[in-house]
Amino acid sequence: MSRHTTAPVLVADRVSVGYGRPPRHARAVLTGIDATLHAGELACLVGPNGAGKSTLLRSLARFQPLLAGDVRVDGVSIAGYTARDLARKIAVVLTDRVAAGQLRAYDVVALGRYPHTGWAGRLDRDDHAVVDRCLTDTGATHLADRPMSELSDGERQRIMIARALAQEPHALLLDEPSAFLDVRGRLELTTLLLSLTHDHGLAVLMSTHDLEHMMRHADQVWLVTGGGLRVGAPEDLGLDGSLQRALAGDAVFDPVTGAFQTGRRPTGRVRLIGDGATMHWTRRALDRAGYLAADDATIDVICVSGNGQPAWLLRGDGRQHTADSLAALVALLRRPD
Amino acid sequence: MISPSSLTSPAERVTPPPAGDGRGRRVVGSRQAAVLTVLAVLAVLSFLATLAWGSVAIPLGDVVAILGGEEASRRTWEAIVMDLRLPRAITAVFAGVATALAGLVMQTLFRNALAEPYVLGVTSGASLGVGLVLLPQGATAGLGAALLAAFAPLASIGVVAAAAIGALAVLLLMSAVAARVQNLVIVLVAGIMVSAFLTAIVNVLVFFARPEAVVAFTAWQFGTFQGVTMAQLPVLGGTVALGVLLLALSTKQLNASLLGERYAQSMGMSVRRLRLLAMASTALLAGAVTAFAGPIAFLGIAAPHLARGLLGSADHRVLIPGTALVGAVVALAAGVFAQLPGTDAVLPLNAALALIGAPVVLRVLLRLNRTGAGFTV
Repeated sequence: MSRHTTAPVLVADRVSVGYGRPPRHARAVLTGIDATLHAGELACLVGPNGAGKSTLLRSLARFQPLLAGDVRVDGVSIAGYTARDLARKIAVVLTDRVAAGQLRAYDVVALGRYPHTGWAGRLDRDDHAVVDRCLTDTGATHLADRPMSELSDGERQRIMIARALAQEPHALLLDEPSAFLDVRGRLELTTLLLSLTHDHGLAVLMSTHDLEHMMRHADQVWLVTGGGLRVGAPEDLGLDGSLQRALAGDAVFDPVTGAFQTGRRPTGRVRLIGDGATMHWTRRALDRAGYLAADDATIDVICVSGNGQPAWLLRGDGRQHTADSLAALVALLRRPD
Repeated sequence: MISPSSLTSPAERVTPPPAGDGRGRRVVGSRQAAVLTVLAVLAVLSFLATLAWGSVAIPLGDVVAILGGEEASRRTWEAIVMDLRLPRAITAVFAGVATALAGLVMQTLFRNALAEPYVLGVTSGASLGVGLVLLPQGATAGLGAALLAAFAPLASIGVVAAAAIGALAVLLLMSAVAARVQNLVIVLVAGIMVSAFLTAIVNVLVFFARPEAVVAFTAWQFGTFQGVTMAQLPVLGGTVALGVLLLALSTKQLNASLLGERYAQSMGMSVRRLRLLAMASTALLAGAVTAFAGPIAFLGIAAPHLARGLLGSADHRVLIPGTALVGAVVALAAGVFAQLPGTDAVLPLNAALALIGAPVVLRVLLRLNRTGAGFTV
């Protein structure tokens, strides 16, 4: 299976999104959007706060009308779907807090069968099988009998994604799903989304501020910039400076690590000697203290890692000190003398 | 290429074992079944108590005999039970069920723990209708009298019809607002504004009315289960049944809207249709009760919370029967209490409801809070 030859699931064709009623009272936030989301692809929607990411997501999910253009899902304009049929194509995970504390996780996932059940909402055997499988796919089977109020943010997010999957959609839209998650929660979410796209062929579009995650895993970046949208591989957008211009402002985008740094100038230079993890963390401490590691510097910082207890030797300009922690090392460097 | 549907098509994979220990699929848990059973038994007991207790105590055996169409020990008992207490008990059941369910719908629709039919102005509309009928009576002199005299012809409508028309008019107005305005909080505030406006008109009428008319109006405001005749019961019952039916038909939508309107919409629910269904059913339930029994306060806000706490669930498939039963039990118990058994005195119904209801609800809620049970609408 090649991800580049998969079918387009969601196509935005010269779309404008915004508020008000066209043509007279409309206030467009983003215009001229052309983008395609393919099956099996993870696309990340990035851009500064207030640039229109949520507006775009809401418009794609038909929560608000398009000001211009057309969005097609599986070849049919979203305007042509009934609410029920659209719910079988697109599922969403929102930032809305869910006031369903007394519902069990299983019941919440079962609500995802809404567009597939009759007026009474009765679940038949197949529906229950789908719910069970969605819980399995999201690794949430053990949460099924717990009330939503007892779940952590990460667990709740997992249940809301399982609920979206229970709609059996072709595309999944998520609005900042990692916003409230801790490091482990983010990693688990990434693993889950990659498995949904690459293993199960779902098309996923998520808005995020987590650039490291995006640079590493997104197949496509939808970059909101200057009232429009630029689409491309994360590396291409990094290389041609688009990411820097759209997101960084005064910050410095490091094209090597793909991370942003503050625009502060280094206050001094040191020659760093050492290896391994000690070296890595020492470099970070120096960076924080405002020191750049350079081979031609007159001050040496030597990492000594004898008998498992790291220590640091600061030498140069006629002085010599030892530090038994990085905090002490930073304090030494900052001490004026 | 793997088609997206392979994620979920039922035939593709072996069905995994049921979630958790298999309880996941059950709608009604064992605790909930027990709670519903206890509530049903309580409802039957309080129904019988309503028939047996009052200014005259009638032995339960005789009550059952009379209901069964047999001879009672004393002839007068038959008249008391069949003509006085049975209509009162049935009215209490209808009123309790209807008010409680109307409160449940409003709380779910607005996702607000304090919502009840009155926030939509239903009761204020009914009050104005009844006020326009009762308050102009006998007004004679002055500017106020001239104002009231203009409404005097309305007296021929009758209290029940006036209350119904008032409630319906307000609900039509609020439905129009709900269909136009997207933000539910605005609908809620609009209801409170309409309510305040109508109450102000009623207050002006009360201010100018003669004392006898005010007494009659106040008596209506106290609420009562006694005013409904056997002949009127089918009308009350039919309206309430229709309201409950609309509610039962929206169970799926009500459950979906627990996740919020946007999630519900994204799963294929028509927000507008649910709003109209919920408001229509509230209009029927609260409107009918207010017309026949006066503005029954308290139950609408308390019964759903009590049911949620007792059942430990927000799922409307168990909440609707649970809330209906709680409403019936509390209404019947308050009715018995209002009669002050063994005496000739009678308490105003709304006072009786809150006097026995509020401490019970408070106690249950505080205990639930202590045990840490999650408590949200």
